[in-house]
Amino acid sequence: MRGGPVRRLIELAHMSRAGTASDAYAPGDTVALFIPCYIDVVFPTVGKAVVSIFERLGVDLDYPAEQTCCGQPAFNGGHRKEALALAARFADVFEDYKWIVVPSGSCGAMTKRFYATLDPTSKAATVGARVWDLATFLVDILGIVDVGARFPHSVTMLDGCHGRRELGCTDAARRLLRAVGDIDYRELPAIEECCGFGGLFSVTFDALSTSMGSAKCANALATGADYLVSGDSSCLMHVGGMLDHRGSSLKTLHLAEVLASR
Amino acid sequence: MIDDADRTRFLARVSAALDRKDGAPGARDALASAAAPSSSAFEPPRDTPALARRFRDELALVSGETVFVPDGSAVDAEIARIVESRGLDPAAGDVGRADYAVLHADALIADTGSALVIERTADRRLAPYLPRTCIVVADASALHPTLSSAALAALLAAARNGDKGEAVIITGPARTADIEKTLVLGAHGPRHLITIITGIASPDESTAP
Amino acid sequence: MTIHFDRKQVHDDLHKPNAPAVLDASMRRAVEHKHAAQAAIAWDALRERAHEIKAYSIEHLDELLVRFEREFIARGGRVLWAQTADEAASRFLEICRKHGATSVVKGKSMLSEELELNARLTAAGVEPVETDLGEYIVQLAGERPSHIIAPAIHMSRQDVGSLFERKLKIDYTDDPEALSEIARLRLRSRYLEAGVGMTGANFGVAESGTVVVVENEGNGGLSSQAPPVQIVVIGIEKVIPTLDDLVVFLQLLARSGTGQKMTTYVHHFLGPVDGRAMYCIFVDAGRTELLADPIARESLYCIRCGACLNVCPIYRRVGGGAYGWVYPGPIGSVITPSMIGMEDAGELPFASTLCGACAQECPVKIDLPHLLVHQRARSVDEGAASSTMENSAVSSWARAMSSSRGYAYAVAAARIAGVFSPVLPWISSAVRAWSKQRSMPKVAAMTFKDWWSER
Repeated sequence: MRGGPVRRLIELAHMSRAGTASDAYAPGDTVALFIPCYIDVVFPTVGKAVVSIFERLGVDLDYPAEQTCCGQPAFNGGHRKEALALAARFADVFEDYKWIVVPSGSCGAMTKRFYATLDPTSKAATVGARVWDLATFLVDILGIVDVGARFPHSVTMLDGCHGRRELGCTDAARRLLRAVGDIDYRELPAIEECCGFGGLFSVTFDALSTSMGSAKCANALATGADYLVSGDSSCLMHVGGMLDHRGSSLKTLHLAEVLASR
Repeated sequence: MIDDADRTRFLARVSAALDRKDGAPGARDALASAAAPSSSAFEPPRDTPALARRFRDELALVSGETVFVPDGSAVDAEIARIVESRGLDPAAGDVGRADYAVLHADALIADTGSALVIERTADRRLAPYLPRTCIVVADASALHPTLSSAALAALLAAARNGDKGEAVIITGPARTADIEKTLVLGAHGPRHLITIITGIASPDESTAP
Repeated sequence: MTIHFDRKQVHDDLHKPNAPAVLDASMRRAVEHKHAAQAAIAWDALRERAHEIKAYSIEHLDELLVRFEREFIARGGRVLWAQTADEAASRFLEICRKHGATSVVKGKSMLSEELELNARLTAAGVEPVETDLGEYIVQLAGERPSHIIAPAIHMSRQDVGSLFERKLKIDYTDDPEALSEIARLRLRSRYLEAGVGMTGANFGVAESGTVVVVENEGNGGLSSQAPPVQIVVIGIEKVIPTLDDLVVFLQLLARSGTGQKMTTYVHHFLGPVDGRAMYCIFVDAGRTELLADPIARESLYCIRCGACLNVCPIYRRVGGGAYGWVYPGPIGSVITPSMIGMEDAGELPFASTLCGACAQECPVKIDLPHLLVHQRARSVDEGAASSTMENSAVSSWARAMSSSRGYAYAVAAARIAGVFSPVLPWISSAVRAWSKQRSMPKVAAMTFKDWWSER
């Protein structure tokens, strides 16, 4: 027996990629940086942190500067045509790279998972399959858990939903954090519950969004940690924005920024 | 009342939605399906006393009671004892007025504390539901570890043989939590469910280290 | 009769979340309970199997319906087909008239809610009597059920006590046991007097023409068996191929919805014994709309367990009534626009962060987030999306993203506007919505692109 229609899209994407299996990472392989639009413009330090981590690990990097956006806001908003166009552009920009790394679970899921269901046999689906979120790439592809970082503070981790459920990168992120020197890691209560960002949802359904954000703030504060860390700056923009608005001293950092710390 | 045109129109619409190229559907004789996978991580031990103990414990979790009667011929006496000790009125077997009903189970499922009961006649159809107390009787050999095709063999056979009536899997007394999620027993169906298992003595209490 | 859907009320409810706090707490407990029950078995393997069975069933629905009909008739039952709610009510009333029934005892049926069957019966002089305790309570209160599994979850015991005191003319009590006993006694005679008993169905097994109904209270057994005539009102999507397939679902069902290992009663109706009559009314009522959409048809796999509601952060905050129709939560947001119409219900699929908690819980592995996005796309395509201002904002933004130059322009405009987006009219309302409780994100003095190009 076979699965439902969504499954079949995913199978179709797999089949059209058959024979282009990704090999193990070989030293000297170039990694292309995929820096999401909002990180480029609002949180460039996250991008810089990613660069410094890879430089420390001796990984060859490139940054194709013509990249713009993966198209997730269009896709989530039901604008398929625009999403397809942006996916095609992403594929053109990144097609020559075997490894593409992004410091974001949600953009990672868009390219790695949703390009495949959006258009299973497209170049975007093929190229998208080569995208890795930062944590999974470090732990599962490079086989590194200790990146030589030191961060002598208490932290708790917020798990972006797409990273958690679509990419399964929570485990890798947690392992990386716990391996950081002198860190005091505290598990966030109700970690599986969405923070309420959801892209455009954050403004079109702002009451719901901030209600969910409130619960996340309360849980983060309850850990007593000094820093709230996440692999997704979008979630942090929302929760951090709420914390800041309330005058909280709880600071937010992207996982990459912690891993880049010495 | 039943209009063939209605039926044709209805089914044609379903077929059209499925984008059938070959017109109206026929009924396929061979229905594809593999046997269901076993549902429980519970590894069935070979010994009946363990199944009996598990059944008793699971049924207790849903507020049902279990009684063991080693000698099958003594079951009527046990029923009489239960009836008398609780002051139950048999009402000459009139299901509508009796305080209790005796049901025969074709299978008992240890994993969930459930009993499979099949009623095939009009006068018995409300026996599992109307009286306040239900007494279910089965032999220990009817114990199965999990809810599986094997455990439900009698149900599957009744369905396949064209039997009429109802096969019901009963797990404890009737319950509701519709008011503030507060558990209340005996909502509409029986308040008490007692299962008598014959052919086995009461299983030993487990001696945990 | 057209279905009543108050678009404005739904919009208001989604924007002013006000479910009682007890809902969030009870959903949380339900989820913990369920996960414990699920951990005890090979849960994921079962879900996989269930998904495959449903996929097969929906793809072969027409054949299975014909097969079920054949077998059910061979068991002495009669099958009727109702394309619309009107037709369903007509068929139902024809049966009542034929058998001289003036009252109908009802087991819980979401489908009968959809069809507004109670109102139609009442209008025709046949009295519907809800027997499920939660449904009995909301019927008495003149309200709509707020949760698939627990209809009166939104009412406190004091609410119920006052209701019974007022409507049943009895002394006030708010003890749940006493209240249940009152309901039980009131309904006793109703079961035994009714000319017709009705339930929905969880499954119809094509192989054997048998009908499966699960419940805890015993009212389903009494409603279906006490009166001389039994009517099963069943959505077409409920048919599955074989009895072995049924076993998979029996293992799955209770642990999904309520976290019990089994519901108290799993009824398997084998056909009418002598002196009784049994009817199945198969209902379409918009299901072929879903079926005709090759992606959305996956939503027909739903077994109405309520698992997606339990974990949905939106449902927990807005409650069941906010979804405007019979089915709340993620599944409701997917199917309501197809069955009611995108114009009225098109906002529902947007009220989600696509967090995926629902898909993770769904026992038949329906990819609910994918279906929500699919319905959003349909809403946009049909021009029915809730805000055209938003649509043009997304279009302009996407245009900007389609070239390096457009991107650079957007960044420059963002510096001027203080926000990262080129579309001003929509922006001011978005900024307002963001800033109520959050500091605004700031455009960095030097973007990553700038920094990299200077390296």
